[in-house]
Amino acid sequence: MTRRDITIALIGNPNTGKSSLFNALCGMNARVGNFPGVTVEKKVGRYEDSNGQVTVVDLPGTYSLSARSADEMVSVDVLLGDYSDLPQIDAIVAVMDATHIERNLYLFSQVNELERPVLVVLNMWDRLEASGVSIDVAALSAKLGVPVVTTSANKRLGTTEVKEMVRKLFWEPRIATPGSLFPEVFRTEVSQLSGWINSQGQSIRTYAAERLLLDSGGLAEKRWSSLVDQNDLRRRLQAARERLAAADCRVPGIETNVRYAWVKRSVEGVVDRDPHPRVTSSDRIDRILTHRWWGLVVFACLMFLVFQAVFIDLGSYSLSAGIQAALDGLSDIVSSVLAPGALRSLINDGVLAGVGGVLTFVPQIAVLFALIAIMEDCGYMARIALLMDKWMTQIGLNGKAFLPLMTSFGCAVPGIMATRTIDNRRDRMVTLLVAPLMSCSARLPVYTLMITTFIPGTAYWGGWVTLQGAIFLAMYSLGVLVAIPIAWLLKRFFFPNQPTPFVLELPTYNWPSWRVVVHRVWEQVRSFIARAGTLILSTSILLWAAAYFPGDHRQEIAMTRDLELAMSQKVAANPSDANDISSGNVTRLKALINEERGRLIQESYLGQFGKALEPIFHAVGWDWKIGVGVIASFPAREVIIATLGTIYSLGGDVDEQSDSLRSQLLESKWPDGRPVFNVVTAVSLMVFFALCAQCAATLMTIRYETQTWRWPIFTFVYMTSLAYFGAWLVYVIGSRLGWG
Amino acid sequence: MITKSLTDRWIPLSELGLNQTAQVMELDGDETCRHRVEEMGLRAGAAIQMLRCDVPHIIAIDGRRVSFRFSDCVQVWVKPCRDFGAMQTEER
Repeated sequence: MTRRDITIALIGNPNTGKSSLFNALCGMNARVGNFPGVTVEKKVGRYEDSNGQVTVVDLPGTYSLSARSADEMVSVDVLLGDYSDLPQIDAIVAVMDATHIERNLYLFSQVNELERPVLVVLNMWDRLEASGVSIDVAALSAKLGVPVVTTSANKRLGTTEVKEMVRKLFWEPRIATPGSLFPEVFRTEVSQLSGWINSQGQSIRTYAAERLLLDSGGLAEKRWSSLVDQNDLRRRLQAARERLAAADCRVPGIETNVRYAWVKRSVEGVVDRDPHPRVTSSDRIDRILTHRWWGLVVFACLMFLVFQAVFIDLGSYSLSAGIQAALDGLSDIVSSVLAPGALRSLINDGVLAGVGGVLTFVPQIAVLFALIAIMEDCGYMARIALLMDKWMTQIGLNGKAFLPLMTSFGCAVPGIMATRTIDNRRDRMVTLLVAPLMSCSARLPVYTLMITTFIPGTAYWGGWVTLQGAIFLAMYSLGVLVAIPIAWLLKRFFFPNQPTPFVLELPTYNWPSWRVVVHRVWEQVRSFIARAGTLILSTSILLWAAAYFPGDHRQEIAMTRDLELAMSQKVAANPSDANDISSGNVTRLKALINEERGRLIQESYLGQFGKALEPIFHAVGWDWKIGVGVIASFPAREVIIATLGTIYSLGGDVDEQSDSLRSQLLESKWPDGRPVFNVVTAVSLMVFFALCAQCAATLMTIRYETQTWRWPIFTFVYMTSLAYFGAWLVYVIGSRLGWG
Repeated sequence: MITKSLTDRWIPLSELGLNQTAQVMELDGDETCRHRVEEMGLRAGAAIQMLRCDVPHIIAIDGRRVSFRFSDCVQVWVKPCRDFGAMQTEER
């Protein structure tokens, strides 16, 4: 047989194990992206069989091809071969949960009408017996008119048969011709509509014409409105729908009637299900986990554990430290190879410091995503959405918004990406726009520095409650409290919508598959590094240039050379003393270099900019140095620590635990001798950081997800204004109360 | 609506008790919302069981567990029925 590369598409309801099958077929060989122009995830993988390469397109999980949402429309276009950046689909693989085949056959009835070769995969076959269902596979295949294979994709069972059948289907295409399920009166209307559209010089498929008639105000109607006379189309559709209603064939209700009737006929004598309701082990677990009070208690405990796992060291922090150490080592190598100067500074202070800022967060993000993937794969995530729905509706959102917001406490980038699970576009936009208000882990260094330096360690209730801890909690709560009115306002003025029903299928609980978990973590981490990394890298270089130029660095370079020479002589004289560089000439030179760097940064474009904006900073109690730190941290908020270190003449090599930075902040004075920092300044700075959109990666992700610059600009403006106003309010009230 | 519930003993779905079984009789409300709910299997003729009375409800349909909150845009009328076995989903 000749070699031939082919393309197949996987389609199925959510929770049918479609991702497991995709992973089982393609392994890690998958690319995730978006379909052009829409925010629908495109996942494409590949595998080789004896006849060539098979490209697998994993379509979004959907219950219907009614083309109401972007997901559904993309699926229809891909399946019909109307997507320009994908080849024609040679075969469709319809993945079904074998234990709930009736529900899955509804989607199949639509897929089957596209007149493409279809293979039905009954997944989760291993659970069939336990669920009290039996299926006659041969009889089902005969009734549906397409081949049927069984798999247990999470155990990698049956995938070889899928691969063989896909190839067989390609060589000997079997296209079922079920005929229209709709009554004569409906078919007549479809035929008249198609005839009119064809007379307008356009060509429309029967399936698309049916959708046009069925989905009032749907995407198909919008698309065809731009291709034919819009008013005429609307008039014709309305008249056709009225005629159908008069003939007792009301749309869209007729569709569910005819399809479910067909499903019932198809499973008769093929699927044997115990008619009596069964109390499953999932039901028993749900009695606790979805209980109005116990459910919340268990949920709160689980969330506590998730936060602990992300914020305390489970190895992730050691890994972060390892990454940091590796970057430091790389920086040392650069220093040993390159002479002091602009290039070395660019690589060390621009590139490595910038990339390092991103990479050190990767372990925490991996931990968070592993926990989320476990909760998702075992079926608990759907229960969280259900439990939280009651609370989220109070601010105009629904339960599905909870997970993205919770994820944003770790990092807003994956949080915003997680809003894809919200099917209502308007709810999704509101969630996406308030997600950056949640205090992410990058705010942690700022809170730590300010709290440990300026907030007294007063303890109450026998040391169980401390003032520092209370302020820390207040900072974390601030974003949530502010998000409530913001979400309400966004919903009220920008995204008002008609109420829509909240519908969510609850999957049966099962043990999570480590393969799925590893795969999801890998996908998220890879896309995080790729996107956030490239952006932070470029902004770091720009920031470096602004802080480096136009100063005359000759003296600093000469002193750095002297320092390195002094250090190498010291090490040569006494190798055991290699780590001790804190004495004599070396210390004096380091102090001089830091002083020189402080002077250079004052003269730099960034320093000049900071001084020009000092009146704006002054209103919230900051001097130009804090202002420059804040400006420098707009690409990534954690940059402020290194920038403050540089500005306060310490060099950029400090962290939030650095005692010397703390003492420098405490000793910093206004020209009249008053200290710059006090409790009020520290809190105003923290409030600013809590509310400000200082994260280029987040803004880029919003751009990517919304496919427009409008919303990242909106987010930047509203959050920065809010942050400045909040900082000003704290400063004014705090000063009036004499806390400063 | 009141007349309907008195004469035919139909009740709103939200009034079903825990574990009570019923048959869906009719869905009222916005067409698009109704269609969305119907596509998920909650359609006239469907045999259901209430597994969570709080909103969102959890309802057993065709062996699956589906959670619904109707947001006042859909009203689902059901007829309680004790014998679930005899009351299998009938297509209309």
